[in-house]
Amino acid sequence: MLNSSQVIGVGIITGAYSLMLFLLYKSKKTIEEMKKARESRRRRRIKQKINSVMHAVIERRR
Amino acid sequence: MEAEIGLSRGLSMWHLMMMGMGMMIGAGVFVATGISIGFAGPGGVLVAFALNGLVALFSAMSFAELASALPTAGGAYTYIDEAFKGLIGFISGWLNWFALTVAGSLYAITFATYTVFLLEGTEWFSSLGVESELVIKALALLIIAVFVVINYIGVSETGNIENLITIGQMSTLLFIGAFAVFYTILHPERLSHFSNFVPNGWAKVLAAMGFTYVGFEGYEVIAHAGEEAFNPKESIPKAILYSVIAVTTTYLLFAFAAIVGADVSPENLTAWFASHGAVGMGEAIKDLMPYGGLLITLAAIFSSTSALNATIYSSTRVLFAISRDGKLPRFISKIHPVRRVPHIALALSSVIIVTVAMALPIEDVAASADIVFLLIFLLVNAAVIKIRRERGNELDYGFMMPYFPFIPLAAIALQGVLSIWIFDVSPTAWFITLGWLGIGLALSFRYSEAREVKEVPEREVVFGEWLPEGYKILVAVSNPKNAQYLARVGETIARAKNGELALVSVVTVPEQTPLDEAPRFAGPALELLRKVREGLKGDVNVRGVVYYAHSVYRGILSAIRNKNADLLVLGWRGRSRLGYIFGSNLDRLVEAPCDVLLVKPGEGEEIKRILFPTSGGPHSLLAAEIARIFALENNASVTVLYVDTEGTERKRIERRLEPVMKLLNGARSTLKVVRSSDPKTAILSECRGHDLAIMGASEGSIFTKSLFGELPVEVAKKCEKTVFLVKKDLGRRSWLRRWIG
Repeated sequence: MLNSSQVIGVGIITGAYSLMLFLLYKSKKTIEEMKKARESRRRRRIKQKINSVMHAVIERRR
Repeated sequence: MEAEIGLSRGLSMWHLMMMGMGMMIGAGVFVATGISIGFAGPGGVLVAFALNGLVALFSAMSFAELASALPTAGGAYTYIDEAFKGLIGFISGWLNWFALTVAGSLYAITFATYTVFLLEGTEWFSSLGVESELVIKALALLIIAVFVVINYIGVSETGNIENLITIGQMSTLLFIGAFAVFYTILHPERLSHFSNFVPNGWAKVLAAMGFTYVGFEGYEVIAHAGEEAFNPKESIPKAILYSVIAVTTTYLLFAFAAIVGADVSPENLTAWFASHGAVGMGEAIKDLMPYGGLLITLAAIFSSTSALNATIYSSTRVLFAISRDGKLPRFISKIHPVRRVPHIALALSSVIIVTVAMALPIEDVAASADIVFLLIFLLVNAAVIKIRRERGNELDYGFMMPYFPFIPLAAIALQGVLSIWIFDVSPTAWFITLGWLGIGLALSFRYSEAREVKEVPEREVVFGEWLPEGYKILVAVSNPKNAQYLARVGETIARAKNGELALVSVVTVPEQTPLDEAPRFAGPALELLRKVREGLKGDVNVRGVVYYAHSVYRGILSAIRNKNADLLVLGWRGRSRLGYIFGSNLDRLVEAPCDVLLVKPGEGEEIKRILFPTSGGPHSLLAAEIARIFALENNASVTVLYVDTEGTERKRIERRLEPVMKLLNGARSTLKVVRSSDPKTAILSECRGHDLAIMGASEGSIFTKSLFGELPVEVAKKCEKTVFLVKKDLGRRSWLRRWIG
């Protein structure tokens, strides 16, 4: 049987380790979300650039 | 500065993790764990490690956030100075320097202690009859001297060896941990070693946390690599966080192994570890498994030497930075004219490392390092709050920690408590830290007039303007013997393509020396660029630029990205260096994100007959373009050589080479088919009748690191005439080769 110190100790170790894993999971999710936001911003910028070039080409042809 | 422009992103998340874990498993764990079990008990140490992992993760999240937003800045001092400036900025740098030097002392003593631990078992050592303590101090002094000399010479990049050491450390500790788990399954009675879980009370657990904290610092080195990391906004935060979790898990298993391994009754366990002190871990692992003592000793020796090297280098750089900022006497930031290292900063760091290692017992050394690291990390957590509140909107974060600001606030509180609790283990350490802080404060008043450091540009324009559009050719010049020739090659291509030419020379300084100091060594490079320009015809727009970098390839890659270069022209002497195809810099540069022309100058400069061996492919198309340019420029003939090894019909060969022949349009070209089973000999024999050989890289698997391919490189080595090796940038395919190959 575990004595009271052992119960508290195992509880702290499990709790601390679980919290670490949870924070890692949350952080990883944040990093992925921020990456997605960066990529969509980049795509939007490229699209804008392409549109402006196309617009200029059409204008010149006219 | 250099990192403002995307560089050769050579470090993946795996590399970054290796760096972080290598620094964390410095050596502290080998010393501090045994001592901590001696006062906190078996359960106390496991609890201390788990909680330390959590506290370290809190701080790691702060570092990850700052590193993702300020990838050019490196180290705790820079972040704290960025947030607070003034006195706090100086004190953090002052403490950071002390922490690193004290950690260096700890690693040197750990090396010596475990070496003596290994030797003590031998008859030879016993027959000497020398005091172990004396040998430990002498060995510590010796290893410090060795690494000071290494740092003075300027060798700091140990590359893959560091990675191998880290893999060795991690796998040894994990193997010992896994063995212990297996051993406990077979001998469950060993779990009784935990019956006296915290024999001296829970307060000692806090002391153990503070005392073992030195094993949880080191991940901040990942932030330093910001400018070289691939996809830094994602990889740096991930590498920092993963490293902390991986190391915490390893430590828990390692401590568990020592506790179940010690061959002693449960009631005497804590006293047994207390009596063995720093080598308690070694003794316990020796009891646990065959050759355990040898295994743990080698792991400790390797860990401590690699960490000692890194701390000497880092402490020198921190001291240099403080002095250069005008917060300490300026003579400290002097750079050695030949070695290009801050030799006075290195000498002062070495003095502190030696003094602490010689004067203090290992417990006090470890405790001093713990206190100072805790205080610095406390300030970093405060910095992350201040920076996000004041500059959050303007910074481009790759990671923002969740539950802000509760996590950094919790880290500040916990680190404050832990640093105070270390008083319980070593009051001396606190007195030393306070004394050091006092000296720092006194100096801060003496040197309060910190000068603003002048921003030194990453590059210095020597001459010329750069137009925003057009074909851009970048010629890397460094060797005065071939610089003129390379520039003329670049000029010829630029003229034909209506493009522009950039002559680039890179001035390097060792990693220990900040780039700001590089301009003082730029004299010969500036002179060379001016001289080379004088020898050109002058009908092409030419720009001369000097880049400052820690290595030639980094400087050139920076120039490629900055200039958006289309073609890079490099010179090669025709000899390979051991372990490389061309050389340490050229091997990386030929994989640059643009077309590459590698020139091996040979006999004679007149070009009347050009040999163009080819079997088709994308690189040959670029080679054909270049062959045409030189044929028209020199009114030369081009022999397109196809070495047929399979007996192919001539018509099929002509069809295959049709795109190449089309590109030679306008030049006097003839196709020559040679039947031979040995293409190298066939090409070399044809070379004799020509003045210049131009070859495209051969297509290889993306997983092989053959650069230009074996055949072109072999021909270029053996051919006595001038050889051009041409490589086209294949976009994603080249990118894959750069990272996988």
